[in-house]
Amino acid sequence: MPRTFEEECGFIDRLTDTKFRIKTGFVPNMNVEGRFYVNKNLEQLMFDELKFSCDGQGIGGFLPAVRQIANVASLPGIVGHSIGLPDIHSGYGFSIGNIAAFDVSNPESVISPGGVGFDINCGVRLLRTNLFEEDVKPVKEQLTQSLFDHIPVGVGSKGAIPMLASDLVECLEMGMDWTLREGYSWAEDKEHCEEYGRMLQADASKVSMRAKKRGLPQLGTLGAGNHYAEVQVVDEIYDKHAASTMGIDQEGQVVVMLHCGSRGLGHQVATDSLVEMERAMARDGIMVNDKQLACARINSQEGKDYFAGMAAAANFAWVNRSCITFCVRNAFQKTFGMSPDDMDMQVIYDVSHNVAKMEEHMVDGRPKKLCVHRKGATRAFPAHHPLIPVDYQLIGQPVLIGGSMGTCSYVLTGTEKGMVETFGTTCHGAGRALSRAKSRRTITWDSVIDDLKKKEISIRIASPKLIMEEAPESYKNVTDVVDTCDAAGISKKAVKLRPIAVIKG
Amino acid sequence: MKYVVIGGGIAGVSCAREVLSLERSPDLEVILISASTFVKSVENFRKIGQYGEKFDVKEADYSEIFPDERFKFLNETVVKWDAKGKEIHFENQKSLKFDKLCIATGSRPKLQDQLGSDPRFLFLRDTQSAEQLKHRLENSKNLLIVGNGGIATELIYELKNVKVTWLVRDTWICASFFPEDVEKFIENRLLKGREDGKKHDGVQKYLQHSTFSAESHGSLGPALGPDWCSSIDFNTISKAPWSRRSVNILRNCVIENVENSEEKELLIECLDRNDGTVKSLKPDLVIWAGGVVANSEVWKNETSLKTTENGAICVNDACETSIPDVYACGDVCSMRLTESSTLWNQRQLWTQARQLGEVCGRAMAAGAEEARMQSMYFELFSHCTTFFGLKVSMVKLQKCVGRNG
Repeated sequence: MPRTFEEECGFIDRLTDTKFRIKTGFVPNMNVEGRFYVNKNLEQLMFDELKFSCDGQGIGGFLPAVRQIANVASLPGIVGHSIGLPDIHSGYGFSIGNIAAFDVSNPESVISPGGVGFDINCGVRLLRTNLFEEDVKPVKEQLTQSLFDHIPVGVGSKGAIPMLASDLVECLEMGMDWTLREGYSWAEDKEHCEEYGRMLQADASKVSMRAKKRGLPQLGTLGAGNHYAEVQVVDEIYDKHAASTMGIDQEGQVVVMLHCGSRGLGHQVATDSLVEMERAMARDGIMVNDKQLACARINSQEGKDYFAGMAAAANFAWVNRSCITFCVRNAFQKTFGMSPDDMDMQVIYDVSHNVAKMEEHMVDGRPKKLCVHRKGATRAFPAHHPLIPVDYQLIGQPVLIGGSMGTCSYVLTGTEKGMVETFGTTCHGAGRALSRAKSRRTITWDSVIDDLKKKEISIRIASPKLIMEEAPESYKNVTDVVDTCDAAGISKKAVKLRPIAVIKG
Repeated sequence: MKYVVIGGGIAGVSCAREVLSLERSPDLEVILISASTFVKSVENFRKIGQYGEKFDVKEADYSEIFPDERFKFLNETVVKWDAKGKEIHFENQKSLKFDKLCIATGSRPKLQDQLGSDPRFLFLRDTQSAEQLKHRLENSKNLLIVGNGGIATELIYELKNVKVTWLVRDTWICASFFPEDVEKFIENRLLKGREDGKKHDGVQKYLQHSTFSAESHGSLGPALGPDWCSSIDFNTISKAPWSRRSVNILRNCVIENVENSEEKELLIECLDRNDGTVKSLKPDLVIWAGGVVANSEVWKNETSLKTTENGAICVNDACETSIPDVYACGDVCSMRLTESSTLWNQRQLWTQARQLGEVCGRAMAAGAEEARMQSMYFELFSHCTTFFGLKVSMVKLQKCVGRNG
């Protein structure tokens, strides 16, 4: 007999204003407790989802996020808590916005492709300029069109950079070092990138031929879905010191935000590994609550292969973002007749939000090597952490939060509290509230376009249906999400950005 | 390195484009040879999902398509070649050496050799013949269209003010693209024709080239691409009072005999395979939009070049022929895959012409292994086009009545 909603709620209790606990026993075999962060508005969404599921109305074939958090907590080798961030929404196996860390020294510990997601190393990059809104306003339409012309967008778009398979292998192994060598990146770009734009564990031979075939023509393309390039202006500065360290001095300054990932290549790496993992699970007798949580022991061959393939896909994504950065700089150069260097088009930072990494964290007072899965979650290391760039040692790692189309975006910084509570992690964006199909049914084209027009946002879009799917109404309110993280102390608000031009797939 | 590409159709041009983009050396020389001064180029390329692709075909002057100094265009007709000596010979006695050769000479209508000289026959295959169509239609009262492919279908939909008999080899119309179940839907739309004032009515876009007379020119130009119909404004022709639009479809019929002596009226006898009767038709104009054969005659003097019984040049999955450094792509080739996919088959369509051209260019410039990285093209058949003003996307054709079917 399934439990009623009220009975389910008995397993969930409030710890602070913004933090909830999911007690063991909520689902079978939980090794640790679950935690999730929400404020009043988001809390409503979270519990509604559970209620619908208890009433027998599933959402998109996935379990509700709370149950997914609990199922992840039942995976072997998990330490700390299975943590849900404010932008959480249900996904394949793991919810998007779920963090789980596994103890590498425990032979039972697992790595799961579902915990990374299909768009491996999907991430956000922020470029600054020394231009101001009034400089851009007169040429805004030209600039938007120029960006749209320069950046290959859409589902199956082809990259602007001619590539051979041998180049691709180098991309997969070298990441941004490749773009630097080929002259698409600046040397400084690499400094301001997680992992310096290259995961050293990458092994291109662990990426299937099929994945390479899918990736080859897509290198340097934005893709579709929620991926975008936006020209934004600084709307509000909360932390003057942090902002100026990032080169953001005044309100009205223009920046460019890019959001894209590893395209078909990452998707194929994930799909290929799921098949392998199912075999490994049968062999090693790994039991999970949900079939979508396919996983393999970190130290098994399958686990190692996946990690090496995932790292290669992550490198691909960095190359991808770098190639698009190159396109953006060219588009600005063309529009303003100035060199990108003169416009100070430096990378502020580049974050990954679908990736698993080997990191050292304190667990029960002792340093431990953990495999941290971040799916729809951004690393947010505090000041003085050895893995963040020298330039940001005093303010903490910049965290880039992309909003939904036409709403605002944020720059946060990592905090010590986040390091302790959430393995140095915070939210990644708005997080879907409506399914894509539901958005298309309930939101009209005109209403979205009118709204954008009112806000004076120029838009170029390759697939018209995205207008509805990506409408702000389809997403949680990004401000709620960011405020929750700020209030919970797992990251700190630094800058608010508002878009003036959007380019989408 | 001297790369020679024969054929200015989509395959040849795509091949040349790929070579130019992949090979960065300044010593590269890419020579495109076409019997026509116009070439086709792919514009507004867009992928539709993972496999599909959509693009416009623009007819361009050769000087416009590649602003690259390493590219040259020759307006010549090839008559002979020497595979060992790596040389091709032209009609005007000149010859040209090559390092690597791409054959992209396309295909031509099956009966053109016998009937091509008769003015009462129009072989609709390339852009020149489409231009002639307009002139010929003006005097025609009784039109016979032969063929069941895309060109015949589009033409019937577009024709106005004329009496048409449509001869179809298969038991249902559009059998090469659509299953029998949707025949009624297609027939309704086709019989109605394009309605003025409706969405997608009228001329969608003009091909950007000037009309020039093809009569003076015996050789074949590149095959028709998508939107070819829209280059002709059918409203301006056949306004004669006697002709109201009517379409009579003869299904499951094949031509038995053609009497076309010059003095007499044209007589075409066809066998109705439904009941075994022979019908006599007396059209004043026959538009042949039927089967094609590979345009490979000129290459066959080299016996080491493997061809199929239909004359198509055999190539592997990297467009390599049986002769080293000689490649073929587009309609002229027949691709044999080592691991054949049950979901893919080769068809004479511009989607595949572009894909084959690209693979071929990649193989020529970077080697067969690199070309195989593109073999996703040969996993699943897909084709995006428009029929009767509707967008159509096809994946894996159900029944395939192609050239070999």
